[in-house]
Amino acid sequence: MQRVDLPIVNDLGYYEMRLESIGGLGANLCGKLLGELGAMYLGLGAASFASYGSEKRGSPVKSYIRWCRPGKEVRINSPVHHPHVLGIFHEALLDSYPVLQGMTEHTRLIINAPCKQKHWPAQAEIVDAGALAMRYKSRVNMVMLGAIAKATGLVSLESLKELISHTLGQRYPALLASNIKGVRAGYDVVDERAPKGDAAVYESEKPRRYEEAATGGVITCIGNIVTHDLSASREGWIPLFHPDRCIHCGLCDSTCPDMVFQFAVGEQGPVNRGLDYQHCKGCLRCVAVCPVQALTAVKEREWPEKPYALPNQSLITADIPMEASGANSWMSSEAQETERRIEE
Amino acid sequence: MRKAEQTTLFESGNEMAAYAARQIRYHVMGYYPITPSTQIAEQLDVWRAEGSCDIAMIPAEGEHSAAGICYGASVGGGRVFNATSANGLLYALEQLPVQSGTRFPMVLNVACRTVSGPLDIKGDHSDIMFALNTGWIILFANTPQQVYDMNVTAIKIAESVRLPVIVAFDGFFTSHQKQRCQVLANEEDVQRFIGAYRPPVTALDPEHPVTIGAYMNEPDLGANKYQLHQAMEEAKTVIQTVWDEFQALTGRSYHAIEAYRAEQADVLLVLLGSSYGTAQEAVDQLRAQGKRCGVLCLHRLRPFPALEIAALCREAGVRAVVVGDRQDSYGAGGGNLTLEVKAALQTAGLSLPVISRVYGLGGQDFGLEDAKSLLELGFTTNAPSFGYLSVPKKKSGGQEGPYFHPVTETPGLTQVVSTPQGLQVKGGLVRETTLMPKRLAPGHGACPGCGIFVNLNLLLRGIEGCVVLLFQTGCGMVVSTPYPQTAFKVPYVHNLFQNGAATLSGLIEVYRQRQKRGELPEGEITFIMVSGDGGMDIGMGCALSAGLRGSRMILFEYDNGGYMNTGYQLSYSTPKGARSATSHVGARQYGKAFFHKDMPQLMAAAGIDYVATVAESNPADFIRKAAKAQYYANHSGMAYVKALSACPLNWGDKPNQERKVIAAAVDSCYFPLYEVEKGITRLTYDPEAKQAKIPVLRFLTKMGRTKHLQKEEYAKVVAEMQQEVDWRWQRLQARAEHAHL
Repeated sequence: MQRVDLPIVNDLGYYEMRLESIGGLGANLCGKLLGELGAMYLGLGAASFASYGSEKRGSPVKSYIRWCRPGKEVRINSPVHHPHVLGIFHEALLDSYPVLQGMTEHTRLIINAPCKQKHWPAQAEIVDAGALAMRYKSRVNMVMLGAIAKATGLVSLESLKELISHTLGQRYPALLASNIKGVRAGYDVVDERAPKGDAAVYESEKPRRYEEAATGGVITCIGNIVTHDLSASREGWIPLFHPDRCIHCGLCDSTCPDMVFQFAVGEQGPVNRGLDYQHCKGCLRCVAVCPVQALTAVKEREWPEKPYALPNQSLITADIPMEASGANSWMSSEAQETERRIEE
Repeated sequence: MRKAEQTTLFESGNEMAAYAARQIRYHVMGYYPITPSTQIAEQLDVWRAEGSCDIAMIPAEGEHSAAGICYGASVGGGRVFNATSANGLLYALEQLPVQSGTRFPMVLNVACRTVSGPLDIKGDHSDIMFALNTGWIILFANTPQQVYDMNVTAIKIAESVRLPVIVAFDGFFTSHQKQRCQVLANEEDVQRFIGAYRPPVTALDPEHPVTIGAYMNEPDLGANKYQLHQAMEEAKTVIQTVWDEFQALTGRSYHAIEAYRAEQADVLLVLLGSSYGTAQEAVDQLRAQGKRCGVLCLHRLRPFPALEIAALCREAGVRAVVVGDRQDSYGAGGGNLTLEVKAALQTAGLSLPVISRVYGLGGQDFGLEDAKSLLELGFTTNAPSFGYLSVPKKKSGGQEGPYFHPVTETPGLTQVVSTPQGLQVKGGLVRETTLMPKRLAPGHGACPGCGIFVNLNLLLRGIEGCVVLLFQTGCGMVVSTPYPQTAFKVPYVHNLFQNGAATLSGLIEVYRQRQKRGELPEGEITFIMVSGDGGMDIGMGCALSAGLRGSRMILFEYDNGGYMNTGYQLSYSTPKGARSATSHVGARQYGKAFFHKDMPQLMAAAGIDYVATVAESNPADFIRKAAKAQYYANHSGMAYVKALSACPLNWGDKPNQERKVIAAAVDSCYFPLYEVEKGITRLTYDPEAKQAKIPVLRFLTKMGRTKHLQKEEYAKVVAEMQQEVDWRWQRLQARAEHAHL
C-alpha cells in the first residue's frame, strides 16, 4: 500500500474535495472511489458522501470527500465548504450555479471542458474528459478521477490502478482495461503542481432563510415556479422552429412536458407563435413528433440567438426575477450510477 | 472468546446494515422503500440476484403491511428484519406495540428522517422519538461501523429478552456517508456469536398449537405490560453483556452512553447521533481555550440510560448540561432527549441547570460553529432554558408577483352531451385545445422528457372550468412545488400517498356542505386527484373505498411502473422481468417476479361510474376521455383515468423516443386503450383491427430496464408475459362484446 502524508490540511486536520456535477456523469461514484482510495489504498482516514435530496436551486449532484492523517477519525459530516480540490464535471455549471463558492488560494480547480474560457479563474485546469472518455471507451468520471487524484499530488498511478481493479474490475471486468486507460488519460493531463498565477477566491454564499414564511408553508403566489430558468437542463441541443413548414397541428404542444409552445388564436384556428426557451429542457420530444419537420434538433452553441423565442404568453408581467435552475429529480439510490440508456 | 478475523470495507451505514443482515441470514425481510433507508433492501436484493443472500424479501404495498409481514414471520419462529424511515415508521407505528406486547423479537433499522408535513426527506430525529413508547429496545449508532455492530448485537439482544429492537441512525449523515468499517470476515463467526434461535412460541407447530394475540381485559393487560417493563429492565444488563461479548470478538466496545473529554467538565453537551463527531471537534477547540467541557452521546435510547447519565454528571462535577435536540416535543419546553435527561438528573437528586436547544431540523447542517455555540451556552449565565439554535432570518426582497391570473374560465373547446345512445363528446381536438389555458406554469424541475406533465396537460386540456387538484406524494408533486415555489395556477393540495382519495373526499364534502349553507357560491368545481402508480399501491385501499362511496372526483394515475421518486424500486405496476433497484437481474433473479397490476380492472370491479385508460400516443382519445371523466365526476360519481407515463431516467430510454415506446405498449396490448362506462366495456383502440398488434417483447426491448428479456435465457418469462397480456386482452374483448361481463 502506498503511504502518504497530507501536505496541507484545514484547521481541523482534513484534506477536502468537492465534486460538482449534473446527474449521469458519475460524480457520485467518482467521489466514492476517492474516499475509498484514501481509506483503503493510501492508509488515510477517509469519508465520502453525496448531496442527495431535492436540490431546489443548486446543481443536481455534489459529492464530498474528506481525508485525514492515519489513525484520526473523520468526525465532521457536513458539506465541504473550502475544498482543496474542486472538480467541475460539466462546464455549463459554471455559468448557471455558484459552484466556485468557497474556493481559496489553495484550491486546485479541475474543469471538464474542451478549452478554457477567459472568464474562468486563473488557476482553472482543463481536462477534456468527454473527448478522452470517448477516445478510450471509458467514462467521464474515470478521466476526472485520474485528473483529481493527480491534482492532490499524493496519488501514484499504481494506487489508482489497484483501486480500479479491485472495485470496478470486479463488477465490470470487461470494462477494466478501458477504464484504466481513461483514468490514466486524466492523470496525464494534470500537473502534479498547481499552476502559477494569482488564485481567485470565492466567498461562501449564506443560505437563504425565512423568518416570516406563511403559516403552514402555504404558497400564495401562483405559478411562481416560472422564475426558474431551466436552460441548464439542456444537453447541448434545442428544437429549432421553422414556421414556414408548420401546419399548427398542436402535436408539439401535446408532447411537451414544459409548456414551451406558445399557441394563440389565428385567422384559421390556433397558430404556433414561438417557443419559450427559458423553460425548454431540450428533451426533443417535439422534434420527434412533428410530422412536417417544422421543428428540428440543432446544436444550441450554433444558435446563440434563438429565432422565434417567445416568453410564456399567459404571464401578466414582464418583470420576472429569473434564476438558473435545473431538473431536480432527486436521487437516493444508485439507480443513476447504473443507468443504461437505449440509443436508437 | 477468541478474536475473530475481520475485513475492512469502505461503505455507508445502509450498506453496513445490509451486510450484517446477510451474515445474520434473516429468514424474512418485509419492507417498503422509503428514503433514506431504501438502500438496505436494495443492497440485499443485489446480493439475492447474484445468489449470495437467501433472505426472503417481500415488497409490501406500504409500511403498515411490511410491519404485518414481519410480525407474521416472527410468530412463525423466523429471524425477521425490516428498515424504514420517517412517515414509514409512523405508518407502521400501531403494529410496533403488537410486536412488543406479544413479545416477538425482530430487528428494525430506522434511518432517521424528519416526519412530514411539510414533506422533507432529510435527516432529524422527529421520527424515532415516536417509537419511545412502543416497548421496543432502541439502540443508536453514530457511524457506519456502529450500524454494523449494533445490527449484529441487536438480534442477539432481541432474542435474549424477547423484545423487538430498533437500530436507529441518522438519515443521510450516517445512512449515506461512506467510511472505513471493520466487519467479521466469516459468516460462521456471526452465526456462532448470535447462536441458533429456538423460538419459545411458534404458530407453525400443529403438534403443539398455541393461541397468539388473545383478547385481554384488565387486570391481565396490566400484567402483560408489567412483564414488558420487566423485560426492558432486564435488557439493561443483557445489552451490556452482549456488547461485552462482542468486544471480546472484535475489540470494539460499547456502552449505554459514550463520553468525550467529560472528565472535570464544567459543561456537558448531550447529543444523539452523528452530531457527536462534530461536537468532539468543538470540545477540542474550547478545551484549547481553557474552557472545561465535554460531550456525551447515547447508544441506548430505550431502555433510557438515566443512571449512567446522572453518574457521569456527578463524577465529572458538571455544573451545566446543554442538550441538543434534533426534534421538538412542541409545548413541552424541549425535545424528548431534554425531557428525559432532566428526569434522569432529578431522579438522581442532581440539581443542575439544563439548557435545551432544538437544532438541525429537516437535515439542516450541524456545523462546528453550531456545536461551539451549544457548548458556549453552558458557560453563559441567564441563557434561556429552551429555544431553537438558529432562528431563520427573514427573506430579503419585497412582494413577489403576481405572474399569472388564476385559471377560472376556459374557452369551451370540448363539450359532453348526454344522448339516448350515451355520452357524446364534441370538440376535444388536438389542435383546438392548444388554446386551453394551462393550469400549470412552466418551470417545474422534472427530468427532461418526463411523461407526468405531458399526461397531466393532456388530461387538463379536456377539462373545462374550475379545477382543484390534489397530488399524492410522488415525482409529480416534488418537482412542481419546491417551496417557496409552485407550478400551480389553480388550488392545489398535497397529502401523503396512502391518503389522497380520502382527503379529496373530505374536500368535496365540505364544498357541497358549504354551498348548501350559502357560504360558497353555486357553481361547479372539478376535483382531480393525481397519483403515481406508487400511490396506487400504498393508497389502493383508500382509493377503492372512495370509489365505493361514489366520491365525485377524477382519480388520475400516471403509471411509470416504479417508485421513481425514491430511485426506482419496483412497484406492483412494474412489468414482470423488469430490472429495478429492488428487482435486480443476476444469476439467480431475472428482475421483477410478478405481473404488473391491473388497476383499471380493480377500479372497474369497485363499480365506479367511469374507468378509462389513456396514452399520449393517442392524444385525441385522451382528451375525449378526460372530458367524459369530468362529466361523471360532476354529475354522479368517481371517474378513474390511468395513463402509462414515460420515465426516461428509469426506463432507460431516450426522452424523444417516449411517445414511440408508449405506442408500442398500446399496440402490444400491454396497455390496451378502453373505457368502462357504467359497467359497459368499450375498446377505444383495437390494434388487431388495425393490423398493428405487435408482440409484447417489442415493447419491452425499447426500454433499458427490460431489454435483457430478449436474451434466450429469459424466453420463459417473456412467454408468460405474452400469455398474461393476451389473456387480459381477450378478456377485455369478451367484455366489450358482452354487456353482462
